[in-house]
Amino acid sequence: MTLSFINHMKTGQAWRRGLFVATILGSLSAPLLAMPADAANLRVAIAEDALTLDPIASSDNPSIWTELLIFDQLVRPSKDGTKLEPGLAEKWTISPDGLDYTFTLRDAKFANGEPVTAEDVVYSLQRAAGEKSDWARFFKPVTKYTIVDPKTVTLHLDKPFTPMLNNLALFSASILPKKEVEAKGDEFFKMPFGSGPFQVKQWTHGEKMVLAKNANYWQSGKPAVDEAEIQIINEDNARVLKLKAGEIDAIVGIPFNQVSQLKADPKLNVGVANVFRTDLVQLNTKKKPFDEQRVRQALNYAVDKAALVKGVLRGNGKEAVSSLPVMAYHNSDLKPYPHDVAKAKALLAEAGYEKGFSASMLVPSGDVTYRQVASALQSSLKQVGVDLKLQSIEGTSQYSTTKAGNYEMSLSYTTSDTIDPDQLIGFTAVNPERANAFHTEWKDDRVNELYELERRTADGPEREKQFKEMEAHVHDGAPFIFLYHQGVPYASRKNIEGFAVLPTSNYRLEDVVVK
Amino acid sequence: MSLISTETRARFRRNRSLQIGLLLLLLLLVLTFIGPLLLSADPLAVDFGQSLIPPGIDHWFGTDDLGRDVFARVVTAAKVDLQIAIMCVLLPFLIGSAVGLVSGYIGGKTDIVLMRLVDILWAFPFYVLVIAIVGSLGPSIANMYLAFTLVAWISFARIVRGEVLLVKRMEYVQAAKVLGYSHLRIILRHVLPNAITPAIVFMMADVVLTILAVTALGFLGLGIQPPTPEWGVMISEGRNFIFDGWWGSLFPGLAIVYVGITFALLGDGLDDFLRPKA
Amino acid sequence: MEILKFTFGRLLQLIPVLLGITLIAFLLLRVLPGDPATLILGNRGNAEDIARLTTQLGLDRPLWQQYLSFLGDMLRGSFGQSIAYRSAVGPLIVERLWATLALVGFSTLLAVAMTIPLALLAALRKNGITDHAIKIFFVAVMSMPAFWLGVLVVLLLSVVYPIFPVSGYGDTFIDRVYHLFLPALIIALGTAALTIRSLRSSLIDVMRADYIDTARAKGLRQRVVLFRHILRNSLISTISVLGVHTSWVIGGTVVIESVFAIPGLGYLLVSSISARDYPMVQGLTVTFAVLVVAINLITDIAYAIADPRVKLS
Repeated sequence: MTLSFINHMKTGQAWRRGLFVATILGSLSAPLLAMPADAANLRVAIAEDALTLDPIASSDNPSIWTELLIFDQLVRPSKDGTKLEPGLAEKWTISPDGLDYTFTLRDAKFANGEPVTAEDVVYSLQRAAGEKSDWARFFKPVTKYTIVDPKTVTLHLDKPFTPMLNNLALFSASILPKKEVEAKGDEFFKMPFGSGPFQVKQWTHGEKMVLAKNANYWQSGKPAVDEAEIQIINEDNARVLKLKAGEIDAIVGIPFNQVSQLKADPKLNVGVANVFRTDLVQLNTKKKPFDEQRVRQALNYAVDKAALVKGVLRGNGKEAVSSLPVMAYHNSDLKPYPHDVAKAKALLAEAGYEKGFSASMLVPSGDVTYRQVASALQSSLKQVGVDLKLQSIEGTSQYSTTKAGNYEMSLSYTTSDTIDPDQLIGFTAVNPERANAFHTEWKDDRVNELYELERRTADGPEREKQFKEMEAHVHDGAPFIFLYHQGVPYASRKNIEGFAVLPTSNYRLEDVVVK
Repeated sequence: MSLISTETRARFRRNRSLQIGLLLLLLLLVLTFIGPLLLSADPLAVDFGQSLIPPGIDHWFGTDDLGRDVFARVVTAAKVDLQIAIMCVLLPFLIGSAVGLVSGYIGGKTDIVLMRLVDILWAFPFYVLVIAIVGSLGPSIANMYLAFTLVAWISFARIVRGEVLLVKRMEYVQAAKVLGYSHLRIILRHVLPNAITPAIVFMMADVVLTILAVTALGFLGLGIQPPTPEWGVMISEGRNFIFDGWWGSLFPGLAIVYVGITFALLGDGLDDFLRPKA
Repeated sequence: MEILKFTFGRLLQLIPVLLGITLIAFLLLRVLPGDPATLILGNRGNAEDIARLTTQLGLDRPLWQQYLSFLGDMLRGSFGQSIAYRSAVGPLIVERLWATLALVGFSTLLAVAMTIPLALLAALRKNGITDHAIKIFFVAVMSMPAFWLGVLVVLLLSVVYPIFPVSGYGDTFIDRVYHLFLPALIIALGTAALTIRSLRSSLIDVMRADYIDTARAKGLRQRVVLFRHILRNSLISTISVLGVHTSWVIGGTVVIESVFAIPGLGYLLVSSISARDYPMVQGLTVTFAVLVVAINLITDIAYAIADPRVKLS
């Protein structure tokens, strides 16, 4: 009596195999014996590794977060995400016509000791607007650069473009050491350095990145740690366990159902960052019945957003009123659509769907929260006669699927890379624009008009009014089911001070003190 | 007067593996096809108020994070998993056997070319190829059938070809040739029945490997997509809540083990039954 | 001399196999649905950016040209440019190779360590309770999904009784052995299920063989007989089972690495598939196949040297 497939393995071609054990063991010992343990001062665990450290080729969060630790930009968002503060530029002036931006650089040095000059600035921004850049669109409005002196540079625009200053705070506008990048090319970005608080010391893809303190950093006394090790721990539970065991000092991302339990742990500090993010359901307004505003509003009334925040996020979030996160120029007069089944049914009946309808919704696979939300939406919508079919889809295919218009509903989210709402209003509400109102194909002439205006209007009450009006239009037009703003829970051990996730989703490790 | 000879019956009576295997299979089929009709709980019904309840009288296997009954889901998933596993064995069996038959019978250049292809495919680790194919085509049942067929036919082709080479030399095949029977008739009437047994036996064992691979795809998010209950997906989903609800991952895994043992015993038993050793 | 000729012959035979492997890996990924350029750029790209990237990736050229440049990239060791990582695929694969090899090697070692005593025990107590217990245990093990076993073992031995680390790879040699122990053990159990059966039955066969009686007649103590003669002769056939199984083990690392977050090739494969990084998937598929071919080649040659009964042909 033998398991029959063993016999067949034996009858296969490979009768004469052997001694491979020795072969493999030989190759095993070398790498295992190498690499001594690194004495790290701060160990942070996140879920995904950075893919690249070239700022103009990045679009994933881990890459962006790391680049912000290595490179400086001319200006940067304040920690609370409400305004811009000086970065590499000590101060700046914008000409009254909004066409000339003049920056005065501070006395900063790159990690190799070379000073940061206006030439580096021009080189980096031209690179960001160039052929190879995925972000060129953000910097193309600058048509001419003038180097006034090594510490002064002027950017010229052909026509006013108010979001410009915010775009210069983007990671993709990082100021790079021109000489090094020109000399090394793409190689430079394998172990890059800039004028930021840290530089890459060791990078084992998918495992960890060791960041060493930049001794030449312009903010004296910072960073307080000599080394920061970013460990990649994919599984949520594993991150939490390692933090509890003291193998890790700080983590980003905690399963919502464990937040309150961790908060009770006396050895830990737990926080929840209100990042610029909105979770929503895209409704394809090109397809029936989503072409009908009353139907879209009815769906908003049918969903109990407060219950989602409570049941799924366990309170770590806020109900959404529109597709915009709560950020600058937010219209606080707007209230979330209340959970009102009767109203939803009435609206559906008015629109001619008193019997309800059935629809399919794309759900990104592998995400615990989305899985729960999708199931909850399914049972909510059933109450108003909408039969929702869930269609699981890989995160990376979802975008191209909705872009092609092959969907009815799609559970998704948006995040803002800047602290100015221009990026997201353009992305989620303007049509035609690059995403045609985030693939809903919803079109509102007034929004389009205001968008044009906003981009030409200087920051101030006038621009604020324009944004508030646009947000109100999005709220009423309801091209989405507005769900909630999901918080990002993070935690650190008690001996770590100053670790926090910012509204822009990144963290400033230069402010962290290990006691 | 019985159609089954006493010798065969005696052989069956001695074959403990086959008996237990068939018994387990019968129970499995009953649970798979009749079980879902008797369930009181809806395997898809979400109820946040009922989430992560430990196994007990109301919920034999507990509930998952969405408050769905794990027992109902495990039972419902059986049909999905078994259907996929069996198709993913049957399709490669049919195609692989046909290729092996033709390759072995015709011989010559055809044989060389086909076996070279088998050699090349043999170099790819099974999981790697299946994951790469399903991963690039996108997760769906049809794509899983395609991936397993593309990858697994080579085992059957090899086994059947080897047998055909032996059978070809047998007197009755030679005789059939001399009598001038058509090739098709010789293949179907004389070669096939005598060459297929090892492939059938292997098929049973292959079900074990296939159910593991199918559920592994589900676990990795490349197989059946939620909310359809599927054992691999259930284990993966349960893993997120393993501290508060180990039952979410444990029971679907036990179901896989049950299927595995059933087919391992069947394969073992069939091997002894169909190919009695001297 | 003979062995050199044999090796050379085998290497020559490998050329079409290797070409075939690259061709299959190449064609496999051409069936990718969706436009890679759109996928890569995600929500930041417009039509212009997408067109530029398509040209950059060479996706607008005819298939045979793409294949030739793929071969060229491979010969240069770069395997093309990773879409997700924006750098050459080759070095990224090499970086991850060691963890996978370590896992395969370690698990094989553990499997051998389990096989020899258990198979001896089972053979000596043929059809006894121990024999049946070993058999039943390993039939059950073979039916257990490795990922499930992994999840449960972590819960038990890393959370409830925190003896082993939850996941990861470690830094020093000792640390890595410690980290790899549980995943290697799970793979080893599956391997041992095969090798124990194989070694047991060949032990039983060999014990019946005549020359054992001769050795006994010469007055050697029974234990010496057992070890020197029986085991050595039976191991040869078991090693061949182990050899065939290597391909399965290498494939199995894909799943286990994902469960234990070991930064090896398998983990990279799964993450590259969700990132639609098809040059990476292509490079990895080829790497896995070449790994199997290389191990088979080495074992064939070593086997030919070790066992004179094998005809060099």
